[in-house]
Amino acid sequence: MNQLTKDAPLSGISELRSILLDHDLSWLGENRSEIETLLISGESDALIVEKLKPHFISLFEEELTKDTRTAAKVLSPLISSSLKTQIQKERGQIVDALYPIMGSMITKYVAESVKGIVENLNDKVETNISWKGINRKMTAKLKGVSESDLLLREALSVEYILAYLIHAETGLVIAQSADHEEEDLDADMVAAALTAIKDFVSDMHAGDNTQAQLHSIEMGDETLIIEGMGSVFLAVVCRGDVRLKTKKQVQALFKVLLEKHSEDFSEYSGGKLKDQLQVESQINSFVANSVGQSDSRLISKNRKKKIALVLFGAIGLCVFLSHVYYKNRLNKFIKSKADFSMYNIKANSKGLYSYQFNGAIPDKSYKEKVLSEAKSYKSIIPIKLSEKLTVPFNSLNDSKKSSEFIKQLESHLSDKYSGQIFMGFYEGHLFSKGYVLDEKNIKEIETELAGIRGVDKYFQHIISLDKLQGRIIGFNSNSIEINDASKFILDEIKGRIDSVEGLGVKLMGSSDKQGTLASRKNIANLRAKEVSKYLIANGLSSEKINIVTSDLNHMKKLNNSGVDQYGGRYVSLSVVPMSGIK
Amino acid sequence: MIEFKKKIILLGDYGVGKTSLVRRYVDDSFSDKYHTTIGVKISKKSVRWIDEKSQNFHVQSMIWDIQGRSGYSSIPGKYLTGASVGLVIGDLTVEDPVVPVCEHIDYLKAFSPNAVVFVAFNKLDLFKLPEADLNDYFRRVYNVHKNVSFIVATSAKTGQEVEGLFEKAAKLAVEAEDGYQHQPTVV
Repeated sequence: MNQLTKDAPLSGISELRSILLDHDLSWLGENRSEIETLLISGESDALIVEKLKPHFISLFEEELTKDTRTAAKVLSPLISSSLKTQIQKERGQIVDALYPIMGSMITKYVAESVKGIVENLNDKVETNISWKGINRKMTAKLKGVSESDLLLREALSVEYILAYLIHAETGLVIAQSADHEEEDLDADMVAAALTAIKDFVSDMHAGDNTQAQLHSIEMGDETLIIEGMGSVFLAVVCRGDVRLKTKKQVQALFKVLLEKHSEDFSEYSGGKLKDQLQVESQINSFVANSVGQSDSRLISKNRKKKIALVLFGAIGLCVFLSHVYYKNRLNKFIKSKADFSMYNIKANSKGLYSYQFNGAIPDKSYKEKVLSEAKSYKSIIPIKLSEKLTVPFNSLNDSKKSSEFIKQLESHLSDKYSGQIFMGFYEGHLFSKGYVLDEKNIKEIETELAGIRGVDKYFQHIISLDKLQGRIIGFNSNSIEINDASKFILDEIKGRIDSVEGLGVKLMGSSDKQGTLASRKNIANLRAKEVSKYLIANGLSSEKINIVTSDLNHMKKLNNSGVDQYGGRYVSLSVVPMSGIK
Repeated sequence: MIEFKKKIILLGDYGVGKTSLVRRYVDDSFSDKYHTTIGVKISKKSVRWIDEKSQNFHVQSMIWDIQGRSGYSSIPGKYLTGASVGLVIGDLTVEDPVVPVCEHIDYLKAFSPNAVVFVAFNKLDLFKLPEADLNDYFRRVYNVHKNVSFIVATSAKTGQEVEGLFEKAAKLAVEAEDGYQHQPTVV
């Protein structure tokens, strides 16, 4: 260690020398004749130095700018070292210089600390009428000290109850405070359990790329401070006002132990240390010198039980944390899966070591998919997975059962297609009722739906009804002749119906307001039949066509709304599955 | 008196009887109950003996009973580090207990390369196959792991070979300290 610190500045200086002087020497070589002239000119040394100075300063600056990283590396230890020396020599001046910057921070810190003490004192004063308060008054009288002194001492005190030095790999106690030996608590068991907890916490976060370490455990009045590095760690149980200072004191003890015995620790294999007595003495001295130690001689077995409770509590805490951790991981995983997310599946803790998945999914086989994914997680606790994943419908033909699923499906697809897709289930087919579907969209949705278990059993095709539904074939007044524009529409519809097995078309004629109801009904049906004839003539099977008798109420409604451009003289076409035709 | 503390770990699949072996040794009682805390249960037992040079030995064995492996759980490697002896437990009632035993030895060696390895095939009371098959299991373990120091068949239920297993583990842990060369032993 010492060797390293001595060598570092030396190698730094030689590196700096190399940076600065190599170039200088070459500059000197290049300017040799000028320098010689200067030297033999008879001018004084001071004057020569003054003349050469600008050249050297410029060279120095040039070199530092060229390689700032190396310069910083080389200069940092030198600057630190000179600063340290400066602070030691001119402490007063340095403090004066820094006070404007640090002063406000220090003031704030002191104010906060005082506030803490005042709060603590207030708490103590409130206990004046308690047994503890009366006891304090009696002690003050007996010892001849003021009660306020005792109060202040209580407010600031921290006592170290016991300390263990533990071998990190094996969890074996290397040394412990002597006070503890009289007690019931088994130091070896405590140390091993603590090591396991520490390893558990460290391992639990290993997958998150974090360097999580257990530094302290708080439980009730006791705090367990853990300070560790290398082959050993120190566990100190404290009581009272544990502050940063307390932790620093533990760190200081650990540092002393490590500095003096690190070699001994690294070679530890279960036997006694070479300096066992010295190590134990250092630990004992640390525990014995804590504030309020005289009172700690009165440590009752109850307190020891409390320490045991602290450890058991810590184990419970670890279990709880691991629960939360794995539950969150499972839910994060579920959320990350697009086909899982649409079913609102959530993992909930259910008792110890078990998780329940809640949610509704379309198919039992899908449960396996969710569970097997969840089981693939690494866990040091044997996780029991149970599921409450309900299958919302046994068959999509059951409209009640399928409605929830359709709703979820719609919402999922709507997110993807800007809210313009609506799904419908009809006689074993899923239909889209959107506005923007083109062949590419349809393919995408078909692929997506095919990947969702439960749907594939019922889903056959996406049928873009928007391109077929609501199409009307218009007619002139008192005419049943189909014009060329209408023929084009009929050809397209015929082609679509042919391309999907199981589809048919419903035709419903309509008329304008002219004439009696009977004549209007007649011409409406004639128009429907004319359209049917055209479709059959162009190759559509008559079985796929259903002429629906004109509904006069419907016609009246349409006539009144004025939505069609043909004044009611049209045949409307609805593409439906064959089952709807019969 | 020469005093030592030694870390002994028990490894093995779920249900092989690790916890029952520890209970049998430490408390001299048998229970099928499982522990599930942070994946490890720690027990302690002292062993004393006098060697041929009349030296008194006292070893405190800290026995780390590590939660069994399953398809989706794993053992933190840190639990295995620093072990003086690794007791790898196999289950005689499963179809082929040798494969998981060998896997556990590999895992142990990865984290605790200097550990003395013991293998115990447990549930001897339930084992119905002839002795020839048992010896075949032993041979197969040795063929894969030449450095296994001790193989034994045990029964946590009857206590057969249990105490001997742990005591031998404690002794070998101390002997390994002096660079003692182990000769494989089969019981």
